[in-house]
Formats: sequence, structure tokens, C-alpha cells
Amino acid sequence: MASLLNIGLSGLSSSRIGLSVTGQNITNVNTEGYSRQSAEFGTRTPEFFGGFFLGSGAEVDTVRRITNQFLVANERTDIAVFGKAETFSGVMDQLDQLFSNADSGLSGNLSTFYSSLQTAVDDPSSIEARQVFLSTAQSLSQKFQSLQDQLLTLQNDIGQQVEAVVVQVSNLAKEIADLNGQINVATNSGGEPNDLLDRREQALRELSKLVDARVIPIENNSVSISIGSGQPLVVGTDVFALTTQVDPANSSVRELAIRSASGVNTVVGNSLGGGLLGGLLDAQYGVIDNALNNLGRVALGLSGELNSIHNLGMDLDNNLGGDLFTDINNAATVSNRTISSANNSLPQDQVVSVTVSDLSKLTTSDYRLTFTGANTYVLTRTSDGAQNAALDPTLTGNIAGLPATLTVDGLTVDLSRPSGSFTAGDSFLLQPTRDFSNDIAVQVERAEFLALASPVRTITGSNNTGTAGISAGEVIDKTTAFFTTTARQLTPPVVIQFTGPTSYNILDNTNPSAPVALVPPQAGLTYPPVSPAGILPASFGFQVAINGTPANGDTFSVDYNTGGVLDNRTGLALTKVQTTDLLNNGKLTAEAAYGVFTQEIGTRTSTARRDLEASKVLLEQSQALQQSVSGVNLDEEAASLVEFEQAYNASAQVISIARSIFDTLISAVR
Amino acid sequence: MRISTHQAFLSGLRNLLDGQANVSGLQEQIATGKRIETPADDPVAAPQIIALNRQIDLLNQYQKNADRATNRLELEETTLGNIVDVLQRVRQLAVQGGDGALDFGSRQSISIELQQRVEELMGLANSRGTDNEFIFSGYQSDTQPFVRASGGGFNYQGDEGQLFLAITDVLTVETSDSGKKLFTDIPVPNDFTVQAAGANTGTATAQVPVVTNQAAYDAFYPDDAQITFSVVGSTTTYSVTRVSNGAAISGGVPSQPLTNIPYIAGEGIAFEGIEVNIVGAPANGDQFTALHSSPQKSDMLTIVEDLANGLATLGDGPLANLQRGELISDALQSLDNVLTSINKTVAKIGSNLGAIETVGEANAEIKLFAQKTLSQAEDLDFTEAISQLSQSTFVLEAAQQSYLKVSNLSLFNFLR
Repeated sequence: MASLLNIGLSGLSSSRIGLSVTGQNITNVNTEGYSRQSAEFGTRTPEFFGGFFLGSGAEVDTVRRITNQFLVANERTDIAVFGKAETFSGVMDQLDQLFSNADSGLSGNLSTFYSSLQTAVDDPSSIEARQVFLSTAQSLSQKFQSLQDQLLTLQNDIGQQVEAVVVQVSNLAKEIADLNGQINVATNSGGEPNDLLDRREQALRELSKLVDARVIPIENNSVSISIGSGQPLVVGTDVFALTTQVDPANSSVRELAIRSASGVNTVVGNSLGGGLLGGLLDAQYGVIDNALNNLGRVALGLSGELNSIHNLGMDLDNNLGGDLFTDINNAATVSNRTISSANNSLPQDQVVSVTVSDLSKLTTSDYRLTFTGANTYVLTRTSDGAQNAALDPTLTGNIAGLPATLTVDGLTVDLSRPSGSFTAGDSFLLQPTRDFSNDIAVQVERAEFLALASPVRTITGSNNTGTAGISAGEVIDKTTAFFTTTARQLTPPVVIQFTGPTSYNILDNTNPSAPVALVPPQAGLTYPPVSPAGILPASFGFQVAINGTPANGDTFSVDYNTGGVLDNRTGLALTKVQTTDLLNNGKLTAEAAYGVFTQEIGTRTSTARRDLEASKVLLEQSQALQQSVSGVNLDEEAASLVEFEQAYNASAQVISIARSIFDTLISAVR
Repeated sequence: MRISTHQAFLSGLRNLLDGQANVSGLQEQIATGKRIETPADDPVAAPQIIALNRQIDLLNQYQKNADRATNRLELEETTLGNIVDVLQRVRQLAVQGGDGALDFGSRQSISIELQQRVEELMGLANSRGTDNEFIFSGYQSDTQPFVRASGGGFNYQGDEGQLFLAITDVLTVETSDSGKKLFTDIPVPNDFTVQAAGANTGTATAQVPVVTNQAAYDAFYPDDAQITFSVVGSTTTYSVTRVSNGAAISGGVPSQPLTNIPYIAGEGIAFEGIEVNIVGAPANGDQFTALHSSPQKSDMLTIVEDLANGLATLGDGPLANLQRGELISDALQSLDNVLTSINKTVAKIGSNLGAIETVGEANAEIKLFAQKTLSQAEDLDFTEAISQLSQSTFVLEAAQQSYLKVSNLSLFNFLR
């Protein structure tokens, strides 16, 4: 007969286990990743007692970990989404601050640049006003450089964070693999290793925060983990290290790769679904590159347009104007625009040079040029993936041989190779706009060198009797012999002499009292000239307009504008750049292009913030759901304490009754 | 739903933090007065704000340009006004100098005042602006526009350049005029010279020719007249014909065709508003031509100086009186031409100033509108923000109190 004493004892021991489990729950109330446990009670095997079974007490079957794998997986997904949103919106907030603010962004500098230009133009002979303009031009170029620097620093920070995260991912992968091993052993010995499972779950949560990891359960409570497009990170107890390597196609970029045990790297690709790493890579490739290109394009637009005008001007020392800012196609800038793949055929003497030929057509995209044979190529715009003829009808995909020239989106791409022709597989990344905000610098050294005047002026003959008037004149090309023969002079000065109301000669006016024929002669020309021809031949490099009716003998002379210090014609043309739609196919001013770009950043930042809010709410919900199953509730545990204490006390009473029965029996026999 | 204690603690804490963030965000908005700090705060309004700020900057700049242009134009207007005053005085003196009752001495004192006026006019034409630049020398504002030429007269050393300033995106306004246009290139009345034919054999020579009636001569101009002498025995006669068609020209008082008119040496041959004096004895067939001069232009300073010199040198006598008459008449007409040239420019300056003012007013209105729109786009609605703030503060306080209350609830408090 099962002793009542034994039954009572079994009650005592199982209640004590119950109390221990409750105690464990209470003490782990704040342990991250702890799942509450519960003791499962059962009856002991009954004894057959001649015709019926008699119970023999209670026992603890198992201590169960209360969890729901679906909720746990759900939480992991939300952690990954939140991790990505948090990182991405962090980077976007920094960019938003950097570009939008009048002090930190470009807008303030652009504004003072133009207003000091206007002041200098209002008073072209004032050295002080010119000096002020030059220093604002300097701060404008420095602002471009500092924005570029800050973008590069941000990119560099992101790169370092990526490296750090990659190390953390590898460490976590190793920890998970180790736990897999321990869990495997424990499971084989027949129990559920509750706390080990909790620790692994917590490690998986931390991993999900870093990278979107897919968790696949395998036998014996082990799990496998893959990332990216299915590259394995952990298989049972085997770990594959996540690492970074130089992108052979673009040596300035590092790409993610998984290293197998044999040391072979498999490229993961740069689009990871989620996690901190996913956010960092999205920011790096989707945002910072785009910001660099946008900023560079604004710098190119300003430099190119202002230079082309300033070059045709004349400074206070009567010299022809030079570049105001860095030449957009100087050798150093052009050589920065092409990155050759490290895998290109040897000897790597391929030359792919990118010059900007039409500012209005410039995009903010990069381009990839890949050869599929000696004379066949594929040119791809990376922003939208458009190729060859879809980009430009002149891109047939074939070249007749080297040297060759391709034209796309306002760019001229010159191809040559001293050692022969290109080879299939040769690949080049073209970055036309990316670096220019770093290259831009003021080229005018002294205030006097600012070319606000125009190099030519016109004079109406004093004895003219007709009603015709002449325009002030303009320079179109300063490289003609008229300007290059002798510095600070028009060689020769010319005079337009009317031989009747409808005909004129152009003569060499070196000796104004006796003009002689030009070489070659320009005589018997018809007035007014048939549009679009001007009064002067296009080959002169300067042009005038004459309006009205001239009389026979009327003269108009054109001379170098020596001493023209109050002339601001070139300056006025420079100020017009502020309102000239020179970018985006003539739809945006440089300033507006910058505005559109900051607005784009603003929109993306605002979207990122909303994504962050949404993913935060989702994460809180899934955490609350998971916690509602697995979390410890102290009230509940307090109730359990009371419950198990009472059961314990009751079982003790059973023992006490058993003793008193025994005493009664003994005293009856005595 | 089952609540885990840790989760309850965390969610209570989160509510408190959210409440605090809300309050601090509102506080920041109220402190700065701006609803939008970066474009991300309102991506829809952001481009509008950027564009409006740019427009306001630009309008401010145009206003500065307009002020600058106004200063320049007003300075030029004042200077031209002074020049006109001096020219009026010169005109008075010229009229005075033509008074036949004046003696030579009086004419000389007029001439002395005229010489002083020339210096005064030269000073005004060489005026400098606020930056010490010559205002009438075109682009070459470092070069003095008017200097005395070595052989007498004056040289203009500037050019025809004009300074333009932008007062709107599309409108530029001229803020200077060259001295060449204003004071030189002034047409002077038509004149002629008398040439003796090379084949002449007589001793006759032509005296200084005089235009006596400018209007009549202007009608004849640019034709030439030929005086042909004929000597038959002791009778010398002359005929005057048009060079263009050979027709006889009428003249004299009363008017008659000048054909075979008896020649009296030293007597003026008058026709078509001019008078030619021939002295000496012409031979048969001798010819003199009244040859028109090509249209002449002079400058303001030379015109006045020529008048002064003429009054100082021309004495009395019939021929000198005629010459002085022409001198005064030419000077008056030239002065009128100068005044016309200046007045045209003054009128243009006036209309430019008017345009600047009109554009300035329009710009100011646009700016006001832009500022209003900008304020609507980015400025905070204080009433709304402050009521939101008091509400948020209230919510935060309530959350803090309820958190304290709820977190004190525990069964363990009763297990004693």
C-alpha cells in the first residue's frame, strides 16, 4: 500500500519545485529575452490495489518554457525593419540638417554670392566691391568643398559602421553556432534546455537588429541562418564569416561577402532587406552618392556658365577675362571622372575620358561602360538602367575602331588605347558630376582681374548724317587673331564704312584718318545683313548690331575697350546666370536645382521618419504580443507563490495526518 | 490580454518619453516662431519656402540696384540742369552781343564773361560722381572726358559706353550718358566757302562770305552757286547759276534773275540767303563758286568759345557787322541744338527715374506678397501652438501621475 506519507512527500516536493520555478520567474522579471517557465504537474503512476488503482501522489513532469515561435519570428522581422528604419532615418536627418539650413547649406552662400556680384556690377570700377565679391565667391567654393567633405565624412563613417557591424554579425553568428551545439547536446540528453534556448533567441534578436536574417529550424532544436539573397551565415554549428572586400569594378567601394571555410568569398550584394546594415547600405548607395552627384552638378553648372561668360570679359587692367572658377573640363577633373575596373585586360592603358559638353543635359546619374567585344559596348545609365540607343540615338553599341567618341546626356566620352583595341569585359564607371564640388575653386587671384567689362566698344562717326545707331558690341570668341595677336588690343581695329544706305565695307582702322582694306578684304557687303548673318563676319569673334538707316559715308568703328572701367556688360551677363535655367534641359537654374535636391532630401527624410514611426509601432506591438505570452507578470507570480505555499502546507498536513493515524494505531496495540 | 510586468513598465515609460518629446517640440516651435525647421518637417511647403526666400533676396537686391541707379541718374540730372542754366546765360549774352548799339568795348566784356562760362561748362562736363569717376566719359570713367586740344578747340577723350543696372529679372535701365552724345556731335548751321576757279586770270578775290538768312540758305543747301563774270569792253557783268542744273538764280532787292548784272567791286552779291563780296577786277570768264560745306558738327564748348572769340575780335564796319550777325545767329542756333540734345537726355532720365519708381513700387508689392506667403508657409500659428502646448503638458502630467499610481499596484504589497 502506497504510504499516505509518501503521497504527502510527493506533494511537498512538487510544490517546492513549483515555488522554485516561480522564484526563478520572479528573479528574472527584468532579464532581457527571458521566457517565463511553468512547472507542469502530473500524477504519479498509480498502484494496482486488487481491483482498483490507487493514486500514489503528484510529480513534476517538466518545467516548460512558455513561448510562441510565430510571435518570436514576427518580432525578429519587426526588429530588422525597425533597425533599418532607425539607421536610415538617422542618416537622412543629418543630411536634411546639412543641406536645408541657410547657415549650413548652400542657399545662404549662393544668395550672398549673387548679391555681392550685383553690387560689384552696379559699381564696376570699385575695387572694394570687387574684393567683397571675390571673397563671397571664395566662401561659395569653400562651401561646396565643405559640403562635399561632410558628405564624404558621413560616407566614411557609414563605411566604418558597416565594418563594425560586420564584425558584430560574425561574432553573433559564432555565438549562435556555439549555442546550437550546446542545445544539440542537451536536447539529445532528453530535456528542453530552456535558458539556452532563451539565450539563442536573444542572440537572434540582436542579429536581426543588425541584418535581416532568415532563421530556419533544423533537427535537435538547432537553427540555420541565411542573409541577403540566401547566402548561409550559420548552418548548425558551422559559421561562415561575413566580411567586406574591394569592389573590383569600383575600387573606391567595399562590398559585402561571405567567406566560406575554404576562404572563398561569395558576394552578398548591397541590398539587404533590413537591419542596421541594410539601412547603412541604402543610405550609402541610394542617398549619399546621389547627394554628391547633385551637389557636383550644381557646381558644374555654376562654374561652366559663369566661366563661359567671364572668359569673354575684360578686367580692370584691360586684359581678357580668364576662368572665374575651376575649368569644368581641366585635366585633373576629367581624369577623376572615370574609374576603371581592376579586372580590365592588361596592359591597363585604356583611356576613357569624360568631358562635359552641354550643361543643360547633365544628369545626376553615373554611367557604366562595358565592352562586349573589341568594337561593341554597352553604355548604361545607372539611375534607370537605360542602355545605348535608349539613352541617345547615336549610341549604336558599335564603334568603327579607336579612337572613338560617344555622346550621351551632355557628355563627350573619348575612347582610345595605345596598345590596340578594347577587350570584351573591359568595364568603366563614369562619374561625371560626383567630384566637382571638391574641385571648384576661385581662379581669379586679384580683384582687378575680375572681368566685368567687355573687350570691345563701338564709336559712331562724328560726321554721320544717317539715322543709324550701333550697339555696344559683344565678344563671341576670344581666340581669334583679332584678340590673340597683341594683348590688350584689337588687331586691327575695324571701321564699318557705308558706301550707301544698303552697302558697306569693313576696313582696317589702325590709322583712323586713312583706313585700309582688311586681309582678306571685306567690301561690298549688303546692309541690312540677311538674318542670321551679323554685320561682321562670324570669323571675327566679335559682333555688333546696326539699326536704322545709314547714309553714304557714315562710319562706325569698333575698337578695344581700353580703360573701360565703368563698363559692366560682362558683369550684367554674369548676374543673369542667377535667373538662367541652365540645368535639367533648360528648366532649372543652378539655385533651383539645389532647391529641388534639398526638397528631395526633405521628402525622403520625412518618409524615413514616418517609416521609423510605423516600424516602431509595429515593433512595440509585436514585442507586446510576444511578451504577453512569454513575459513575467509579478502579480501572477505572487498568486503562484501563494498557491504553491498553500499546496505545500496542505501536503505537510497530509504527512501530519499520516503520523497521527500511525500514532492511533500504535496506541491501540499498546 | 496578459501583461508582462516588464512590458507594462516599458510602455508606461515610453508614454512619458513621447509626452516629453511632444512638449519639447512644441516649446522649440514657440521659441523660434517657425513651424518648419528643415524641409523634412513639411516637404510640400519646403520648395515654396526656398523659392520665396530666393525671390525676396533678389527683390532686395533689385531695390539696392534701383537706389543706386536713382542716385546716378539724379546726379546726372542735377549736373545737366546746371549746364542748362549756364547755357541759358550764354544765350542771353549772345543776344546781348548782337545788339548793334553796343560798342567794341562792351562786346569785349561780354566775351570775357563768355570765356569764364566756357571754363564753367568744361568743369561741369568733367563732373565726377560719388566714386570720383567722371560721369560723362562713357566706359572710361578714369579718363577726363573734355580737354583743350593743342591746336585750339576741345577733344572728347571718352567713348559712347553707357552703364546699365538691372532692376528686375528682365529690365535693365541706363544710368549714364556719354559726353559724346550729349555735348559733342552738335550739328551747326550750314555754311559755305567761296572758291575762285583755277583758270581765273583777273585780280578779283572773294572776301569772307556771309550767310545772311540761314533759313533761305538751308532751303538752297546743299546746292552750289556759280558766279561767272563777263567783261565786254569796259563793262563787267556777272551771272549766278545753280551748279546742279545751270538755271539762273534770282537775288538782290527787288528780286530779279541774276543774269548779266553790272559788277561793282566790293558790293555784296546776295542770293539764296548768302552774300558774297568780291573785290578787284575780274577778267572775262572768271568764275567763283559758292561751295557748300559738308554738314559740320561741333561741341558745346567750342561753340561757346567761338562765340567769345568772335565777339572779342570782330570790329565795326559793314562787313564785320554782317559777319557778327552770322556769328550770333549761328551761335544761337547751335546753342539751341545743344539744349535740344541735353533736354532730350533730361527727358529720358526723367522717364527712367519714373520707370525705376514704378518698378520699385511693383517690386515692393511683390515682396510684401512674397513675405506674407512665406509667413503663411513657415511661421507658427501661436494660438494653436500654445493651446497645443498646454494640452500636451496636461497629458504629460496625467501620464506621470497615472504611471506612479499604476506602478505601485502589486500583489506583493499585500503578502506580508
